[in-house]
Amino acid sequence: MGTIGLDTARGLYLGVDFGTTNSVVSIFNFKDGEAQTIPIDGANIFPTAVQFEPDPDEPGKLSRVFGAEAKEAAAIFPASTVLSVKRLLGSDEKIVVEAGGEEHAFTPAQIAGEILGCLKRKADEYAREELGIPGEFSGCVITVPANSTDKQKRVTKEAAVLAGFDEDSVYLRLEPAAAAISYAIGESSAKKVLIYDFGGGTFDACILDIDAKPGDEPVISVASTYGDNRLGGDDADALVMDIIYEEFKNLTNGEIDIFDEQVDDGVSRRQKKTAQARLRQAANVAKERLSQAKSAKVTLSPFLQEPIVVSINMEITREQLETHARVNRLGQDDVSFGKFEGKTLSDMVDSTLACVDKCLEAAGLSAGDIDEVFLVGGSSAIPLAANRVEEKFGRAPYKSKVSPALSISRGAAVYCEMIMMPDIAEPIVKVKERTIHPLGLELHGRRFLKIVDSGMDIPPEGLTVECPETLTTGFDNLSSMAIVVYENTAPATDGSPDYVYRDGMKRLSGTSLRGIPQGPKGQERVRVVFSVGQDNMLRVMAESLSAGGLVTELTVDDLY
Amino acid sequence: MSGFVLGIDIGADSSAVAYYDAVRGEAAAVDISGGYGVPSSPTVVEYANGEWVFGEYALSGGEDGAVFTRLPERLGKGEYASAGGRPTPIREITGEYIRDMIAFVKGADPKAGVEAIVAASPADWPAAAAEDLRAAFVHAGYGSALADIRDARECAAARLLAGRDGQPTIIADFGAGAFRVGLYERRGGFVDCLSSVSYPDLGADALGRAADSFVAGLYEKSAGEPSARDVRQLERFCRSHRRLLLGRQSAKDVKLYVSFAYPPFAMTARDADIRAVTKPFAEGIRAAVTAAGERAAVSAVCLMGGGFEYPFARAAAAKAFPRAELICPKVPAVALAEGACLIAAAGLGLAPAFPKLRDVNRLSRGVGVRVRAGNAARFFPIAPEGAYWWDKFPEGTFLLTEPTDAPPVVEIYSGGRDGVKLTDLTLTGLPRRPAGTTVVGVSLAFSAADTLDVAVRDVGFGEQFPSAGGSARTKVKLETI
Repeated sequence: MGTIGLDTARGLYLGVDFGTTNSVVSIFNFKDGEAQTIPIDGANIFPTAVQFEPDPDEPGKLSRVFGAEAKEAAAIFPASTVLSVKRLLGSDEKIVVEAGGEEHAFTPAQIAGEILGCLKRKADEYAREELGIPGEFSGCVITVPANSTDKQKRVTKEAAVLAGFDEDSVYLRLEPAAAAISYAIGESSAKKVLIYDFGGGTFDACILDIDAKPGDEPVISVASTYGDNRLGGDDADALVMDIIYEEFKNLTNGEIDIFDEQVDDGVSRRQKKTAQARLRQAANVAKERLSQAKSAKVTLSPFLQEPIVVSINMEITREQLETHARVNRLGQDDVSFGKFEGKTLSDMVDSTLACVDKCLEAAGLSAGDIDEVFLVGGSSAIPLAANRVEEKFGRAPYKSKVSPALSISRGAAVYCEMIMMPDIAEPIVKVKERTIHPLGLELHGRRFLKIVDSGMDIPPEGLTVECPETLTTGFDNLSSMAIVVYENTAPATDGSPDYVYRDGMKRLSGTSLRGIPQGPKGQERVRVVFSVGQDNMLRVMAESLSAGGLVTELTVDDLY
Repeated sequence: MSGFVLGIDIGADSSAVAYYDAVRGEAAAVDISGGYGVPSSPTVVEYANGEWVFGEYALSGGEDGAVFTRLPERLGKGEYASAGGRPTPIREITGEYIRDMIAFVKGADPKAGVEAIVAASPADWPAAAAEDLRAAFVHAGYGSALADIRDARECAAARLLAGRDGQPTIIADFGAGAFRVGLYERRGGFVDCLSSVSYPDLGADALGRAADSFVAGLYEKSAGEPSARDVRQLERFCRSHRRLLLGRQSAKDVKLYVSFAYPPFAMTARDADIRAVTKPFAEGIRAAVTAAGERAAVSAVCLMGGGFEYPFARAAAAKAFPRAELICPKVPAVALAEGACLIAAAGLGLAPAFPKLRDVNRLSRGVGVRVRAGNAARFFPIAPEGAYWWDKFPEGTFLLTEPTDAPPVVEIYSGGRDGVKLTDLTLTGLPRRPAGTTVVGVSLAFSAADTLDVAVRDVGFGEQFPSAGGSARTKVKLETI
């Protein structure tokens, strides 16, 4: 088979949508001039799951099963299967799996690295055998939710390096921006587009400016993004689980709690774990069906066999799903359950629309200014979400001809093209690099001082903005000054001052300028300069004006 | 252009729709799976609780709903099925499915209409089935948009043969109902179909059944005979695991987790056993592709149909002509819909006109005997127009209206009025018989597309005038049929 016309001199890059529930990988096909999804084991969508078991060939070691096989294994080997690891990226929590009677602890980055490693190996194999491309993927563009913290981004990069990608060749891009790129290809008129990205674990909104004329490639820039890292299809699944679990409680008079593994109610821990996994799977299937059908049948027969036989046979209607208020903890921690206790699917959709409002506000736009709404992510198939979006914007949302499940990965593959062929004469889309949200510093009283505004063009040589006012010490005899950088994803629109503890304020990084001459309050003056490069990196330099040569710097690798 | 130009392939197992992208000047498939990440969708319709449910969603339906499958095979037979207690024609159910497919496309631009649709149909579809499909489009509200229903081979050629003038090319279609393979050559204003053979036993359905039976065997080894409750669950489980089993990229065991059973359990499908399932199909595919092109200088082998999404099938086809170029669309399952779309676009002048398919396997005119009746002559076809050359034609028998004083001459013609005489045979060795007492049997058979074997024999006339055993035969080389 022929190659797809790649110049692999700069390395071969893979576009990766590493999702909470599913992952997708794509490559840019230079021959056809478009992104192409790589099927893994015959399917475009790869469940983000891994299951461990003792390696029969090497005692003491673990072997791994990935993807669809691992997802299904959860019902039988719940203690050795890891699902939705993306939700744990950035936390310090250890993931403990039980395999062969032993416990093994992993960091979230290690688990994510295992799954990404599997995707890389399969993609390498496909590229070699089906596309005739020699070598392997050395670099990648991995997409991350719009509202990711710096730590989440770092851990994602770490996972990619563990997977075998070159450290210097791992690029992060925002998920909604990548989806937006796949939307913008082929656009021939200027418009403002809202990307409504309701994924398995996260929700993102993104406003895209498309500048296009017939015959020219579209030029796009991201006007604003806003998201919720803990709101996604998994939470809708939990609502269905909750409905089924209510039925279970009725059948057992509330005497059995399958989520409390410590309580002695006659049900073994193993049976409970299996029941949890089966409940989760049944809820997921029912939710997906309710995206099109008005009712779904749930049959778990038997659901438990000891100490009593419990069989669940019930029908759930779409209306029930939309109006049911969550009552059960379902084994979740306080934060996760607290967020959704008493909430309905309608409330969840309201939360997504609140993010949309923040996104509009940050871009200085109203719903009426949006020309098109583009739905992305598996959960956007929930009819209530599409209906509410239509109500809000007064028009039916655009449904991609490409599967909404694949558009992020394909957008990432287009970014790969830009990295592999930066000087290409006729790219299919041009990205105009602009700052998305205001960047600034924390001042006394936790006030936010904006230094870089949103929507500023980033020229090839980088955007440099000097703080309009010099900073001064707030107390007598200070020998250091904290330099803490924030991104304001939801700026106040009423002219009131912004504070760093407000919603939408994201701490990017911090350092201290140490060794400044001690003196009375206000005597020491510090000059601060922000530089934003087209490489998506922010550099902040703080320099003492009284002590010559006293400088500190910090960098944020993946700004947006 | 103010609306969508579409190509639709409603397959027995899965269906696809493609739209014409005027900016790129090509056909592109639309995702109609509703978030499952594949551009094709199972041709399955469910009617439950007063609503229609389609594709993957219908497959996950409960036991109560009526589930309708294999729709195109059921068209044209006047079949009705019960939907919510109401007898519903299959064409209406197909119409509901078509409406849902097109709704996915219109989601990309709800204001746009549908300008033109071309639907692909199996090569040998009865006229009644095509009529039902038209009625299905009318039911869906797109009767006036349906421009044409075209032979699937023509759609395949439109998608795969552009720019391949003068190059004998094999098109192998690994569809659900059959594995179809043919040799085509684009020349002049035509695409000639030089050969076309269908192997129902090698179809993706047959492969799926073999895989299902293998998985069911594994289940029974682990858990015994499935209970009545588990039978349907096991069927679904087998079907949903076909892709995992057959789509493996590398030689490895596959773990299968049976979560619907209680207690749930795992079973392992060994690599060698999976190979044993696919081996007859791999060998069959290779042999079929080889046979299709054995007498031609094959320049390329083009693959289409959902079965070619399995790596083992692509590898098997590639082995038939290792020196020929192997062309496999990114999504083989949607190639037919894309081809139909290109034909629709060509019909509107948006895409280059595509040469017509000239089916060299089908008789363009009937072949038979010209019989004189007084001063007039009548033509009696033995091999009728439209038949395939490899079909078996029943012997034609003719009563001689003259005495056999002179040996009778049988004239074989291609076509009736304005027909062309192909040959004549003189039946010698007949005893003298009066007029109306001799029956002559005429047999026609093609030993190749361009070679007609003609045989005549003395059949006799009852006990009084038995056959004297006289016969004659000849071969005729034809330029075209």
